[in-house]
Amino acid sequence: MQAPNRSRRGASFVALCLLAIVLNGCTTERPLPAAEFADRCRGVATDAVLAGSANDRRVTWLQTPEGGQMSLVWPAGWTARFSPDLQVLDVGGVVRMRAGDRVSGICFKGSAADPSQVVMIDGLLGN
Amino acid sequence: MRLLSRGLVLVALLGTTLASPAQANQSAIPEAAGPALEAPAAVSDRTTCPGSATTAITNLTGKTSDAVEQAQWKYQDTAGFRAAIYDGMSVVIVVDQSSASDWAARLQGTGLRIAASCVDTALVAAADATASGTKVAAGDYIAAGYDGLHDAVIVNTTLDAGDIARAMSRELVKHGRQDLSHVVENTKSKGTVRIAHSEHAVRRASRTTDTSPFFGGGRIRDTFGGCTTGFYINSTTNGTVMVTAGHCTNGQNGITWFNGDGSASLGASEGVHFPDPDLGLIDGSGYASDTFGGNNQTTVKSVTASADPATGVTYCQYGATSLRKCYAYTSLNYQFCDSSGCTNNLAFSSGPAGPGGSLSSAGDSGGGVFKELTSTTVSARGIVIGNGCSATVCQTVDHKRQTILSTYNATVVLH
Repeated sequence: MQAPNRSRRGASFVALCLLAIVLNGCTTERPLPAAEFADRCRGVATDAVLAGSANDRRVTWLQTPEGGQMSLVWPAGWTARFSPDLQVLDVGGVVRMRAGDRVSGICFKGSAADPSQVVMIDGLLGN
Repeated sequence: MRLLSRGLVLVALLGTTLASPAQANQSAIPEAAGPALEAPAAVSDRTTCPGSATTAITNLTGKTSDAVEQAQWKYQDTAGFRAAIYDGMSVVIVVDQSSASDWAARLQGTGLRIAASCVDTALVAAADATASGTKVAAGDYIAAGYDGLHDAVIVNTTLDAGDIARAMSRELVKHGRQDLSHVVENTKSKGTVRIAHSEHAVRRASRTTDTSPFFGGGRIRDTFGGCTTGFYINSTTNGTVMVTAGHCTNGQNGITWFNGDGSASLGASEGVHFPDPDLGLIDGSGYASDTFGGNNQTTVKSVTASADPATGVTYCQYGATSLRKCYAYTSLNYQFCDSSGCTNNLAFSSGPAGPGGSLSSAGDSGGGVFKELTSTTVSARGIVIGNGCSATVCQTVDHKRQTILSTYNATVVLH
């Protein structure tokens, strides 16, 4: 009578391990596009939310209420974790932002031809 | 003084030039004359501003109304004529200074006089406002009066009084009389507009819901995001316009700016320079020499002076995000570079990060930087361009007043 019980416990353990492996497999980490993060920026206010996809080369972007998107750059060393929803982690591994977070200020980081093409979220390194 | 320097002179025609002096005096008395008008006053004896004529002018009907209208129609095509207006005691003809001698001869013997100086500037503004309203009326009846005691323009119209009020408000702003707030007493097909000086008039709700004439310090939005209006300038190349930052429109001209809640258009971007200098203009609506300037959404201050900034002096920026933030510059020749390029000759300030945060924030760009003169008046020094904080230090970079004025060959329009 004891052997079957032990067998069932063992099977459960294996199933849990497999589940953990599967779940862990759903977690993807991607490096984020980085830019020199100056202490200052040419800021503009916005009313956008953070979005991202592990399968998109931009990794993260801002979605505006009007349906527009702006590519994002981040401080060097920051990463994106998709488990499966987006989390943005700083160099210390601390979650700093999540998908759907509202963003009220951005800094233009794009080229002179179109500065607004790439932006940085204002205040990431501040208090 | 600005109005007088524009070369205007006021001459008053007792009653109307269309009738004999005796008839004219009768015509000048409104049917519902108030106490100050109970007896036809000899205008030449009048040494102070007219007494309360609000009721009389509000009820601007009958003979007085006819007199204003007749004078308007008789002289509207005569060179130098600006407008006919009733000042509570008589019909006043406003003409250009350059044609004053011609008008003196034309009206000789009809009881003309130079209007009392205490009401001249307001009368000119009121007369031009009336003329503007007349254009809007497009041939329909409009008559106006000026109540010197209450510093108010009162208009009767057979058209939408709201339309007339808006047209007149724009004209008053051009004359620096944005302190006159309009009250539309009847917006039906026939109405009365009272445009009066009032400290308590509610002209706008907040930074985010501003209306024409637009103030500095207000939230503005375009397709690229939100910034702040700076201050009102008069440019030889662009006319009377509102200044802001060039990066706010991504360096583009022709972008329409709206107020914070999108309920009103301020005009389109023009004269944009980016990245050096980082400046832009907004043109297409009425603007005022006032700025939202408190740590709230509603406090308004008048721009009464302007000067170049200096180091070591405390100035305050009035951005629509951070509201009122004060700081002193440590450099006036700072270069700020990013991937868009470099902007030179900036004023720079830094301070410790911490509670209270950045000196300015995203969305403050374009907002004016001022020296606070009194609790209600300020002197323009520049506009906000960039900002930010590291973990320990916050910084702000601003364009200096002289850069703005030299770029647009402009002067700051003062209250």
